[in-house]
Amino acid sequence: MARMAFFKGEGLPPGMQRVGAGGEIDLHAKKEFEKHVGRALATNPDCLVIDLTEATFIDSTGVSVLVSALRRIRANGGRVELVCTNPNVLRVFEIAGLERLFPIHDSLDELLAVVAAPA
Amino acid sequence: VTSATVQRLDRRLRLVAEPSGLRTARDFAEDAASEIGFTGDECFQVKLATSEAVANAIEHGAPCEDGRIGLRVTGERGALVLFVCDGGTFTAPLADAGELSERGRGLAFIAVLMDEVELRPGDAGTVVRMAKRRAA
Repeated sequence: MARMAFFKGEGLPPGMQRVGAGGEIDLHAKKEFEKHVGRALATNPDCLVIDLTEATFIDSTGVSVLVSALRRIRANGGRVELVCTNPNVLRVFEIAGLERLFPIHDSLDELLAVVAAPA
Repeated sequence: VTSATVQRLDRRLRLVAEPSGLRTARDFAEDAASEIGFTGDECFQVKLATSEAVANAIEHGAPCEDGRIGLRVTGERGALVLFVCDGGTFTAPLADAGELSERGRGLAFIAVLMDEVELRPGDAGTVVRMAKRRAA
């Protein structure tokens, strides 16, 4: 079973939102995943972090939710960043060519350090 | 590996034609791949391909007459063949309209993961046949 949550602004810099998606992110989890991403996007963030730290599986419908989020946020000049270390999930990202579309971080702390670093 | 590799297997499963059945489909495929001696990576590829084919049948196809989706796996001499049968008429998804396209990705995944994939339209529905050989 998948586990989803929208952590509204919790512990994040202004303009950043985080959605956590754990477990198996497949067609069964798609609606729930879309719902949480939709709630996060409704706040018009500059950056949406989709945190897949606890994800163990993702299929093409899960990938579609990520790509859809990117398409929607780009229309407002925003960006999506991913947190993921699970090898099976990263393997699917590789197959789908997602490394070209999304920055992928090992942890939320690493992501926040990158964001806070001077350009 | 704790269990001995089996030389032959032939198993069938009638799966509930709902997204909640996907995990059962994945376990069914992964177990069979493991039992005929596929590596962990190969088992994952078979598992993902099966999940994509079944999800496709659930989302875009129709159940068989008994309200279910049929799965069959056969294994022999290091090769695995999976059949996913539904009662729908398969129509090819729209061509991929670029990297931000959200359609047709499942079949593209299967093509990368398996050695062979074939769609067989029939009178009673559609059969997706997918085959993969164990690395020598």
